[in-house]
Amino acid sequence: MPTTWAAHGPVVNANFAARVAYSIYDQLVRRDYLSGPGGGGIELVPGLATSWEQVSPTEWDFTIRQGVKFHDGTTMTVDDVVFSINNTYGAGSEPFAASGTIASVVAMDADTVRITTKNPDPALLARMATVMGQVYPQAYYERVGQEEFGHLPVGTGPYKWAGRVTGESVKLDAFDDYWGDTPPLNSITFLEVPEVSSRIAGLMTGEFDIATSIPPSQTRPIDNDAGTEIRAVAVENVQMITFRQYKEGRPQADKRIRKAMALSLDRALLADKLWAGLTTAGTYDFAGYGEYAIPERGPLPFDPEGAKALLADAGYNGEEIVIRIVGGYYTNMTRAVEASMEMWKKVGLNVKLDIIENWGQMGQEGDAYAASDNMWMTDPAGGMWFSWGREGGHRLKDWGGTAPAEFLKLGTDIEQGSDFATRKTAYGDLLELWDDLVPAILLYRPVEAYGVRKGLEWQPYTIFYMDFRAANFKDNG
Amino acid sequence: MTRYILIKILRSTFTLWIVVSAVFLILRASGDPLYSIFSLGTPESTLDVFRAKWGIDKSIFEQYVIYLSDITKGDFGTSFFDGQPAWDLVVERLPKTLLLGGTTFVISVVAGVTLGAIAALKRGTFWDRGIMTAAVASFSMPSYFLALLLILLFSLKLRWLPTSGASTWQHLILPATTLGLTLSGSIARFVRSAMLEVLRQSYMRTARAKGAPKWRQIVWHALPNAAIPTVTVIGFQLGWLIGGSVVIETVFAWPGAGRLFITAIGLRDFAVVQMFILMVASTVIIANLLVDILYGLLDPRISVIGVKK
Repeated sequence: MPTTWAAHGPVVNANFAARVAYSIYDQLVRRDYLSGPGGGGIELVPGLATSWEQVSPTEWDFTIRQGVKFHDGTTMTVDDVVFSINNTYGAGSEPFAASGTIASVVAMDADTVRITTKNPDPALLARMATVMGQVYPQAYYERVGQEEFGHLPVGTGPYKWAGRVTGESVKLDAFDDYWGDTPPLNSITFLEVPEVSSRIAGLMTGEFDIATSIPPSQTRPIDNDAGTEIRAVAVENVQMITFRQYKEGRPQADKRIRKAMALSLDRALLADKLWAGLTTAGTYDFAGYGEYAIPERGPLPFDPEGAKALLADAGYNGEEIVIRIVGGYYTNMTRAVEASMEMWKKVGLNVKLDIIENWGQMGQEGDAYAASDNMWMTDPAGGMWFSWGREGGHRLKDWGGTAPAEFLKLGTDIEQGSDFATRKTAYGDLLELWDDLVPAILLYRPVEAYGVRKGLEWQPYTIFYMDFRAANFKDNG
Repeated sequence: MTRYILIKILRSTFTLWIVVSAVFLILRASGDPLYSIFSLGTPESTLDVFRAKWGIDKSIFEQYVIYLSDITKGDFGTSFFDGQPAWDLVVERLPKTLLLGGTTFVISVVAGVTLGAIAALKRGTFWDRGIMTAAVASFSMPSYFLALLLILLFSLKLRWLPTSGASTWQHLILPATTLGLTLSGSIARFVRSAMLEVLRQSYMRTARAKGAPKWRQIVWHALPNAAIPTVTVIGFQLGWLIGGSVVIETVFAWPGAGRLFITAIGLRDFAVVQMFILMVASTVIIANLLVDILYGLLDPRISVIGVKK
């Protein structure tokens, strides 16, 4: 558990911090996770902004909610909103800022903030429903500085910071002046219990109400206990084997071999067996993209014969392909790759697994490596485009410097497209292009399983946030 | 005496320098910490800013010179992850580690010495065999496994004790018992051997011949003479109590320095790992120094320069 809880930056984007931070901060626009089944709703509803209007292709006016109090007792103003967005954007809170679409944020009057984008940005609302849209008090932030703010964060959320015991716990108390529904809990204590067995035991003895990150292989004792149950969700993330396709002369530089590696894997079987039937084979087409999603496309099929034909066509001569993974980093990844190696062997692929200890050792060694990616926001301008597109972080390296021109064109059409049809067509074409190029083998969506005390009405979301607002929490004893 | 202690301190400082240098080099050879702290998609330009901020953009030699210079001034570096001084982070956790270590120490010494003495006095009996079997089992069993067994019994089945955390004195019982059982097993074995050796000595026969009561024979004559090898073992274990509690702190979510160390290793948080190793190494070295000095107090025939008078 980190000791800094600034509203932005790499720490708050991490899974464990997001669980806590979601109770401390509100966003300008709120994603209503309960508007859809299984905590995966995508409806964007008013948050700290009560309404919004697109006044031109590149200008959006947000009407800011009045009378909202920060935890330090001050009242939120448009200046706080302008400061927060600029500050988060400027802090390089990847990849939201890296998408680089915002030109300016200015206060128009006492209750209106105008965001101007460099190009038309149809995904702006979705962006404002992420970390990018979190608001914190300018005066306090500037007085204490980023570091101190990280230790004593102040937001507008339903729970306020009540303290931390190093290495043990973080405590939040209900914020009595919360602008929304009264928080249902007087306080929440997030305990750091690294050992799974201890988390399970503590849940079963009633010491904890909710235990996070229960591996699929250990859900049974919780389900078998009279007082507890497992609530699991496939999160908006995809785990993958990413190819270093820029390495000329190596087998993976040939897209036929990459595709053969994908086709020879029964990913539905992997997803089913490794994740206890709770998830499916991976794709970048997330249901969270709403009307843009194309579920009928589905993931690449399991086609070992097709894989053999592609390998023969490519003249693959059994050269060793090395996959690097950071041991224990992704739940089930080692087992997934070990099982995959048997499937690859059956079509004649010679794959070696190289397990390393940490990301620092990853370097550029090997031909492929295990990674994961998020949906990031409820718009197809997130996900694949965030990571593999124009500003796609380190994955630019996997393309060999820059993404192919066609990929960039389609991505730009999605990012800046002026109408639904254009964007949807571009998105479909981008998925098609992905399946042709196979920059990575998309294995499955991982599962986040919570052990929960029966009697708690609490829905886990398809993201790592834990929501204890009134709409999502009730204790029936 | 003063010269002897000065030489010991000089040697200890040299040992510490070796440890510090080795850890410094090994950590830097083990990979770039930026990739452990930041998520995958972070642009290299952002990472470069942090490399410069944390001084890891310099050559290893430059970093080494700066590090050595800083620790002589009492500056043990800043945690990459928390942005706090490594000293503060480790020291903040130290009381919990010392509480666990201290309680474990008391449990293991009391149980180990008592059981070892009983085994020696009841040599060859059911008691001896039973105690020694339990002792071997306790230090052979991985502490992780023993911890889970104790949780299963005392938390899940009997519901007497909490499974994890450190907020009440009850939270201390299971982790201290787990560590204490492991340690008391080895102490009991050493005490038994030492006692058996002592019980054969002529002064014990003299004590019996003088008609000294049994308790006086044991408490006044046997135990003090058996103390020297026992103190050696216990001295070694002091360092282990700080460093060896890492696994137990993790299982029981005990917020001590050991768990901070595990997290810091995972994150390649150089300053915190170096600070912790420095602390453990210092503890072991100081404990050994104290043991050497204690020898002289326990057995006046042994002078502090290690030569029998």
